Amino acid sequence: MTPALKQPAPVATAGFATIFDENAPYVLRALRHLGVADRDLQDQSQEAFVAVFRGLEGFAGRSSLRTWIYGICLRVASNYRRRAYIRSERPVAEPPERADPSDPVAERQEWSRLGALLDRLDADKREVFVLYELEELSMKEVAEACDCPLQTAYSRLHAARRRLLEEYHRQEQSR
Amino acid sequence: MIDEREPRRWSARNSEVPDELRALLGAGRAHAPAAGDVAELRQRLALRLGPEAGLGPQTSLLPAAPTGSTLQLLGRVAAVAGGVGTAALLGLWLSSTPPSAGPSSTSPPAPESAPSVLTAPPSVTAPPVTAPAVEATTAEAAPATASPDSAIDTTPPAAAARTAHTKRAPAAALASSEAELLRRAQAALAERPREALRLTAEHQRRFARPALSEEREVIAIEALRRLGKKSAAEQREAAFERRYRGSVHQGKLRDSAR
Repeated sequence: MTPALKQPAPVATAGFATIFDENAPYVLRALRHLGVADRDLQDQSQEAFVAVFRGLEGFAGRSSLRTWIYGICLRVASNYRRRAYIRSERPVAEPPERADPSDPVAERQEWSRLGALLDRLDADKREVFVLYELEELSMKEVAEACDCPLQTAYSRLHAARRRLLEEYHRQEQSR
Repeated sequence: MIDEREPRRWSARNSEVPDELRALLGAGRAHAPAAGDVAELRQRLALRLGPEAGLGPQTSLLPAAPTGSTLQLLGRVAAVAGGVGTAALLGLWLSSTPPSAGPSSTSPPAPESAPSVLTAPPSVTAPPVTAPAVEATTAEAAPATASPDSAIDTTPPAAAARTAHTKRAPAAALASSEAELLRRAQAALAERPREALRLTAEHQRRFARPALSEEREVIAIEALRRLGKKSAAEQREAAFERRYRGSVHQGKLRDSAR
């Protein structure tokens, strides 16, 4: 299992390159789970790290760096989804387009199914679900990243799980 | 961070979710981006943020297989040619800001509303991380939120359509000579814009499927501006924006036009 965003070295000693190297795979993964289409993943990941780079100076360390970075990912993905909606595009409900020959077909199929399930969730519930179930943050970290009260995060997780199970069973019946 | 009061994760074997769904989620958790994707992202950021970001070429992460984009092509060039392609590309964009220019059109672009990272790089020696607090995110999010709002262009990247169709070995040589030609154009830009424009025209003639066409256009547009050919520069910039929607260079081009 790939671990969640690593707890990076303290900001005082970690340069941006270190932060990038430690977190890039997790930012790419998180954005994908948050609804960024494969074709746009590089651009959106770039935006996230540009925001990290520019925000580091103002990062006061009141939350952990990884939570802060996940929070940036949420905003980048939210902005992305909003623009995709304006363009009347569905950002994710499509098979991955990556033409990586090392990408096994099975993995792509799994991702396609998982992405289709996640697409059925409202954005705020998806964010909580992704951070808790896929990125394996604690609920306190989830609430920090989502900038919402802890109880709200719990409620969203509960609703997301219920919706996801419903959708899963619905898809199973239609197969 | 584990809290016994937290809901049992669905990854737990005895959770209530069907096995197949748990497997799907497990695959999602286990997903690791290809090394080539990370390498491409690193190189694109290096180009965009400049040397202050400290993101030099990192050949160990370069992709082993072609995936089609410009920077991945250059990554492969570096892998094949011992880093020459990457070094040339980075050198092109990072090492030669025209001395007489205000904002250089060939520097990595910054979003309009954000401070220039080239002139005022943020320090990474921020105050030490203290105990996390729930209220932290709002204030800390401000700079980050501002940046994506102004910077994100979710238009499908033009890079996706600009696939490098070349075979690997020829691509290495071609991209290397491409980068060298544009490096010369960039070097000439500040004091000899006519020569810079000539070199971009040469690039256009020589490379039918260029890997660095965006970069060529940025140099050409700036050269036209410096030659006082405002109308031609505007037309070329308009064509650039149509062809390379979502390009990371668009913001910088707009900045430099002001």
